[in-house]
Formats: sequence, C-alpha cells, structure tokens
Amino acid sequence: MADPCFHIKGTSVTSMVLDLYRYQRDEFAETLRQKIETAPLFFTGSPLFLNLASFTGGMDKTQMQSIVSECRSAGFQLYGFRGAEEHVAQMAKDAGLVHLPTPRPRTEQAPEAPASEPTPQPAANSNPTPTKVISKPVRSGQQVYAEGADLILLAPVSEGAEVIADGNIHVYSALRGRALAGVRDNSNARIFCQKLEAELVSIAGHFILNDSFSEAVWKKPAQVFLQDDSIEIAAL
Amino acid sequence: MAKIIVVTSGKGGVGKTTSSAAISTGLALRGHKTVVIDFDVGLRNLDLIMGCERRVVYDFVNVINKEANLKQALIKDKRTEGLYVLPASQTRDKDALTHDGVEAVLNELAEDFDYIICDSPAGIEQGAQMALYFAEEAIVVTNPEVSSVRDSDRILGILQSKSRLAEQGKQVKEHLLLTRYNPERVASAEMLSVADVEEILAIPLLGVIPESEAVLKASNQGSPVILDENSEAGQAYSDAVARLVGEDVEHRFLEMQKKGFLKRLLGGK
Ligand SMILES: Nc1ncnc2c1ncn2[C@@H]1O[C@H](COP(=O)(O)OP(=O)(O)OP(=O)(O)O)[C@@H](O)[C@H]1O
Ligand SMILES: [Mg+2]
Repeated sequence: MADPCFHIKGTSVTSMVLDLYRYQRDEFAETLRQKIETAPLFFTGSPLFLNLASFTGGMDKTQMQSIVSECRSAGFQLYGFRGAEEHVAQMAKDAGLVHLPTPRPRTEQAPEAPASEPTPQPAANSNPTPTKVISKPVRSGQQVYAEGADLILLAPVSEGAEVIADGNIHVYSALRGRALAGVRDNSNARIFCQKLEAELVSIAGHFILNDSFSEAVWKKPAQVFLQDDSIEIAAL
Repeated sequence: MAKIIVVTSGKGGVGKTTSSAAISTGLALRGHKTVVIDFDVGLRNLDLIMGCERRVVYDFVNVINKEANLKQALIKDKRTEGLYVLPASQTRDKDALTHDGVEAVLNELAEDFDYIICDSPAGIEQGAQMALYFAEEAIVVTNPEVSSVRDSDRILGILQSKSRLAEQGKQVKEHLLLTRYNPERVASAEMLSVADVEEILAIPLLGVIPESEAVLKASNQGSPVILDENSEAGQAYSDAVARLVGEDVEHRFLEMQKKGFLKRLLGGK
C-alpha cells in the first residue's frame, strides 16, 4: 500500500507517577488536594500512573476503586499502574487500569553505554542546560512548563498564572503567580526574580505561600532555594 | 481591507458596549467607514445605546443562517455618516454564532468597510472567544478594580493563545482602555490608579474614560456619548479614537487627576 492510513511507531510520553507508600482514604484525599493546590493548571488533566512498588499494607477492592475515582475527580488522567503484587495488580486491572511493564533496573542499563567510548560525558556537557525563554507576559490562567530545562521569563508572570521548570526559573520582571522549580525532584533548583510578589513558590515539591514571605523581600529582587528541606528566600 | 477590532473585557458591565458605540462613532466621524457588530447574542444592548432598536428587522444570526443578506440586516446610523450597526438577536442562544458563519460575514464586511468593531459579550467562554477570534487588534476595557484587572489579564491570555493570529504564531495588537475612572476614589485608595493597572497588565494605554453621568444620559437618549462634545467622557473617547488611528494625543484625564490631588493637598474640601 502506497498510502497507509496509519503507522505504528515507538514513542515515549511524559507522564506523572504517583508513588504510593500506604493508603488511608482521608489522608490520601487531603494529600492529593494539597498537592493540586500548589499548581492547579499543571496537574489538571495530567496523565498519571500509580507506582505500587513501594506500597506496604493491605488493599481491598473498594480502596483501589476509591484511589482511581479520587485521582480522576481531582483532574488527573489516571491510566495505569506498575509494580504491584499479583492480587493487587488484579484489583487495579479490575478498576480499569492498564498494567505497565516494570522498567529494567538501572544496573542492566549500564552495559548499553559502551565503556570504551568517552563521548557520552562530553556530549552531555557541550549542551549544558537546555533553556526555555518566554518574552511575553504569562497571563492569569496560563501555564508554562520547561520540561527538562531552565525557564527564563522576560515579562511579568500574572497572578493566577503558573510557571514550572524541571530546572531553575529566572523572572526578569515581576513574579505574581506561582513558580515551581525543580518539579522532578531537583532540590538544587532555584527561583530568581526581579520583583517577588508570588502567590506561591516551590522547589522540588516543597512549597510556601506568600503569607509566610518576609517584608524584606516582598516586591524586591529575590531568590528562592531549598536548605535542609525548607524553603529559603533571600534578597538579591 | 478592513481592520477588525474586538472590544472585550472578561468581566461584565465594565463599559464594552458603551465603548464600542463611542469608538465606532468616533472612527466614522473621522471619515472611516465603520461597522459595529453586537456579538452579545441573547442580550442585544448595542442597538439601544446606538438608538436604533426600533429599526432592527434582521440580525447577525439571520445573516449567518442565510435568512437575510447583509444589506437587509445592516442598519445605517442616522446621526453619523459612514456608520453601520449589525445587531444581535434577542431570541437566539449563544450557540447560534458558528465559526464559519462569523468568518463569512466578516469577510463580506471587510470588502466594504475600513473598520469592523466587535462588541464582545462578558466572560471568557465561547461567546467572548468567538468575538475575539478573528480580531487583529483588541481594546481591553478595564475598570480600576482588582477583579476587573484580573479578568482583563485572563482575556489577554486568551487573545494571545486562542485567536486566529495567535494560532498563526502572530500577535494581536493590545490596547488598554480604562473606564469608569474616578480620581477621588483612586486618591482614597478605593480604586487602583492608572499606573497600578498599567503595571499589572503591561500593555499600552489607549485611554482613560472618567466615570461620568453623561454616559448614563447618553445611553438613555440612545446617542453614543462621544457625540456629547462637552462631556469629559465624550472628549476622552475622542482622544482614544485619535490614538487608535495613530495620533499622539496627551492623556488629558491624567492632568485632571493631578489637579484633584492638589486640591486635596491644599485642603480644598
Ligand atoms: N464612563 C462611565 N461613567 C459612568 N457610567 C458608565 C461609564 N461607562 C459605562 N457606564 C455604565 O456602566 C453600565 C455598563 O456599561 P456597558 O453596558 O457599556 O458595559 P458592558 O461591558 O457592555 O456590559 P456587558 O458585559 O453586560 O455587555 C451601563 O449602565 C453604563 O451606562
Ligand atoms: Mg455589552
């Protein structure tokens, strides 16, 4: 056929993963709610799967169903799971989740990189940190995500907007919305801005709201970083 | 080729229809052939403010549904030469406007007119998005208060992501029109100042229209306030129109604000 009506190819899709350690309905719902409040636009509609590899404790059918319905009503597109024991896996399948294969452990990946070749390291260094640059204002209701990159903003970030990066966030203007740096667990990420008026700042999942910012940095040039698992804000 | 300009705001009741009527009249007074379209299907306010409600026979939706042609539906303004109104339907629901239908009407109007002014309904949903989709420029009407500014910010986000130009990777030209501005309430910090709003929205200022009783009087008479040349609001709209067509006009109203402020300082009560 010269003109097939589809192609099947391999691809990889970015998804969020919820590592579940234990389950208790109220605690789960409350933690989920708090998490989403940090960045509603970012989480709403996000694809999500459940990683049960570190799950301890028991689970029954209704509990599995309520996990699914809570995630979905919170706006996640929960589609699958991995790493479960057999009977939990069956419950997850019954709840409509797809069984994802468990990734090969890291040690098995090592041989893939030819040891004799010194290229991989320098190659990584020659393109140090990819950066996403936004020169227009990010308005209320809008969201910008720099995936695997730093984020540089040259115009204001409005109240009600979200700016998110796997790396650092630099705002060469007023930061009035929410800024989340190092969202994939990069605790070295920082946020820099020319005028700090943010609703919320977050580094690697830790966050604080503006009611706990000090007067000394409010509407001033400032940086936000993580120290001993707590968010620090310093004047620039 | 006509220039399509949407008058939009997000928040309701901030002065979109008042501004659409004034600005389209102002453009026509300057000799630009102008049509103003009421996108607020179901409410139909523009024809009242323009004073042509009794002459509405066919409307925008009739034209889209091919129940009437444009010539039949366009109402020629009695006061101002070169000005036409395309009224909205009072009976239909919001979904009566289709994308293709609106595009066809705009294309046909574009052949004849210099300016097409689209009076948007309130909100940021479908109706407002339809009104702004084809626009090349946007007049964002804002009142000097937090909730209005916030909604304007949202509509600016939609303009730069969901309009036709945005989809083509281009930018809609943005204008800020601050209306119902009351310097006394700004001085007493009940309202945001021009500078506050400009700083938050970060778009060029087209004009500041003072809160004025002349507006209410004008809409009761069905005569756009810009025709009331003695009123501050009318003068402020004339200035805004001049800026819209590229003239460099000083913001008169800002000076009055200073005077008011000085008076307060000098103890005038
Ligand atoms: N500069 C002004 N001074 C005093 N009153 C004003 C001024 N501008 C508008 N108004 C009044 O505010 C009210 C709302 O105005 P208008 O209908 O133009 O707003 P709108 O944004 O079109 O509203 P909607 O969202 O319902 O379409 C009217 O009563 C109008 O007379
Ligand atoms: Mg209106």
